[in-house]
Amino acid sequence: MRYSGLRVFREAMTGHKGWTPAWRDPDPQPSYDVVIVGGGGHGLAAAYYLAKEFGQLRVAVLEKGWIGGGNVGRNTTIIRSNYLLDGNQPFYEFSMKLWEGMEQDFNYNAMVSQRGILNLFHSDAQRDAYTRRGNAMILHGADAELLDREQVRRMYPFLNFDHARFPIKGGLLQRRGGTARHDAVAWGYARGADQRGVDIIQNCQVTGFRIVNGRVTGVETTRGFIGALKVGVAVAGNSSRVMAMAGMRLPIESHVLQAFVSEGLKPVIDGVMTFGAGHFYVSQSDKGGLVFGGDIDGYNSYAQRGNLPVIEDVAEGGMALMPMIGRARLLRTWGGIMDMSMDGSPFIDRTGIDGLYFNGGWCYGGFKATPASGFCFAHLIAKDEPHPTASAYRLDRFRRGAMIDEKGQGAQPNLH
Amino acid sequence: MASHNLKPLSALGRETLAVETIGPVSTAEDADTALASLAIRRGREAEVMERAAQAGLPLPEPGRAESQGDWGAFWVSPGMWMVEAPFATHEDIVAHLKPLFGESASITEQTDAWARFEVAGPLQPLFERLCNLDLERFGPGSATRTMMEHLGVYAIRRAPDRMTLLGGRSSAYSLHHALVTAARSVF
Amino acid sequence: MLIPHPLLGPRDAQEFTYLGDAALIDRPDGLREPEAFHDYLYLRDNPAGVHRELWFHEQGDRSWLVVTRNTVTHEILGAELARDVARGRGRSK
Ligand SMILES: Cc1cc2nc3c(=O)[nH]c(=O)nc-3n(C[C@H](O)[C@H](O)[C@H](O)COP(=O)(O)OP(=O)(O)OC[C@H]3O[C@@H](n4cnc5c(N)ncnc54)[C@H](O)[C@@H]3O)c2cc1C
Repeated sequence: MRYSGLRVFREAMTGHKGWTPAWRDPDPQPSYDVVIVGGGGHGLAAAYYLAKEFGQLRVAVLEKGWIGGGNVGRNTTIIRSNYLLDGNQPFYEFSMKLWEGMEQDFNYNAMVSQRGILNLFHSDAQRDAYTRRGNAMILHGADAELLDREQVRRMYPFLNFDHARFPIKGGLLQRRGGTARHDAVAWGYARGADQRGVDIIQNCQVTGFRIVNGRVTGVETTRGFIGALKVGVAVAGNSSRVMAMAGMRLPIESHVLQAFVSEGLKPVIDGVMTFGAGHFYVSQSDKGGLVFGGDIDGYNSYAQRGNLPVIEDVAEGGMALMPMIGRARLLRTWGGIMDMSMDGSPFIDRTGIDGLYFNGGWCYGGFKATPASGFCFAHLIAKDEPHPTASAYRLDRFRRGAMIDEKGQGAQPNLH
Repeated sequence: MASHNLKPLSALGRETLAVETIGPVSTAEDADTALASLAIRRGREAEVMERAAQAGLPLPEPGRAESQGDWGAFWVSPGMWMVEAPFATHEDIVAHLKPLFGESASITEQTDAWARFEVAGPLQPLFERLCNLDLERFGPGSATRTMMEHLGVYAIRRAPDRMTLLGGRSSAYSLHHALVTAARSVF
Repeated sequence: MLIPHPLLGPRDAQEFTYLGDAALIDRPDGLREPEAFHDYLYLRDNPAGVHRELWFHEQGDRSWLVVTRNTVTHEILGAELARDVARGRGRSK
């Protein structure tokens, strides 16, 4: 079924009786050409592009819970391509371009909203750093504008411009950045993949890999063995646990990141904004809730909830930036498990086992990467060679001294 | 001798020491205490303890503060203490301590690195605002380092109703501001 | 989370900074064993469950602790001075 305005109208006239489930609920086949482990944004996007762009493969996505229950449905929905380094910027700009055409491509409303992302700066040194970043973005074909204090004031007059310690001196604006409805992205890819014959199998946890003579031949699951010529793993915070079943140790630690939503308020923030002197970012959802977050908690965790010190820290960041936020009541907080890598950048790579591919290390920024990550992972699995924009995301880059460390923090995952 | 009219300033940059009374509590900046750190050199622990005992200088257990005569000390980390003495008689505190410990300990002048506040009055309602110390378990004679408003601070409980706070001198104003603001909001 | 400091009793985790897996105590000689050093620096076990890890009492007594904690429940099972752990493994410093 194709979704369209006409369709909505026709269904409205006939009591909405004609809608069908957006994807099937199939039982697993004995074997597939490609099995994707993990029904998050990245796994579903990979399956979608495998089916759509890379030939008539028989593909299954195996998800231990329900699709959209992982980080893809837990993030603060920010999309942007404002990176500095060569290994990153072309990839994220490729992702931005895919976001721009995605809803037409998979015929689903993912509420992609290019409302602009503004990174505030508070010192001359930070202005220099953002100027440099903006120039790097423009050189790679993205958009960036440096705003002075008065231009920022016109956008957001209520900010604390004269904060004694962190006065706002301006901001770096990427107008094409913004937000998207996070779980709708998972649903859109799932529906698009399903329509192209992909089996999306929920409540199916992968419990082991069958590896024969250094080659993967399938996966053990809670619903039995499923054969596969190729297996792609995209399980975000569970990367280390899953790859350990294939005997691999990864350059990844799992950490919890929290998110926060206030009660619904009248429209006040029409874009995305980040505080440059602490870690705090905020946008407003279409329902009116302020959606915000800050730092990861900072210790290894597989619990999808965090602790109070970070909540306090985030609240302090919000108060420093826009004191009126102190009047808003917090409705909900939750956590998700981040696959924090050793340099803050991800992996889309082969492994030492033939036919086994790995996608992970997305840290707290993998939502914006969803379309390009799926596309590049599909490319790698189908052609056995990396997509040009993802060619730096190799597992051996530390050995080669080719880290992609945007923050310059070194091998300390909780600082990225 | 060259004559000059320089005036000593307190850690808060004032010519007189800051004293506030807010409801039942008072906070007073103190400049009458000399301070030095004392750290045991490797393998010299027994010698340091013996020399300290001879000199009548207490070196308390972890988490504790003690005083004896002119000398006071509080524990800061394994094998290390802050030693206190009256400023009037021990302005050159390192020169007093070196002969007592010889080569067995490393001794460093600390007096002007810190701002010191004496807080008197009901402590519980004030400090539960300022930090996560559990005052029930932090009776007189306790000493620790903790955080107040993001600042690292030493807290020494002298008596049920008296606490000494030491904060970095370069952030003295911020600590004072935190202290006074918390007191005003509580009382 | 409250960390049971072996010298100071229960302390708020907020006073600490986190380094990671306690295996970081066993640093190989990077010049003689570059392969082992790569693994030491960049690879982690990252288990779901009981994890021994290094915490630094930065806003406290500046001790390094080895804390045993469950990464699934955040339950803290114990804490030792990292110094004692290292000495127990035959390290002199
Ligand atoms: C609070 C928070 C805020 C964030 N904010 C942003 C943001 O603003 N912008 C941004 O770009 N990114 C953000 N992120 C990061 C982003 O959400 C993630 O990087 C991204 O979603 C990870 O990829 P994914 O969607 O495939 O992961 P997930 O949705 O977590 O998918 C992984 C799936 O694998 C499944 N799985 C695990 N183990 C197995 C197994 N053994 N067998 C089968 N299935 C398994 C899991 O159940 C899960 O559904 C945020 C994350 C969080 C938690």
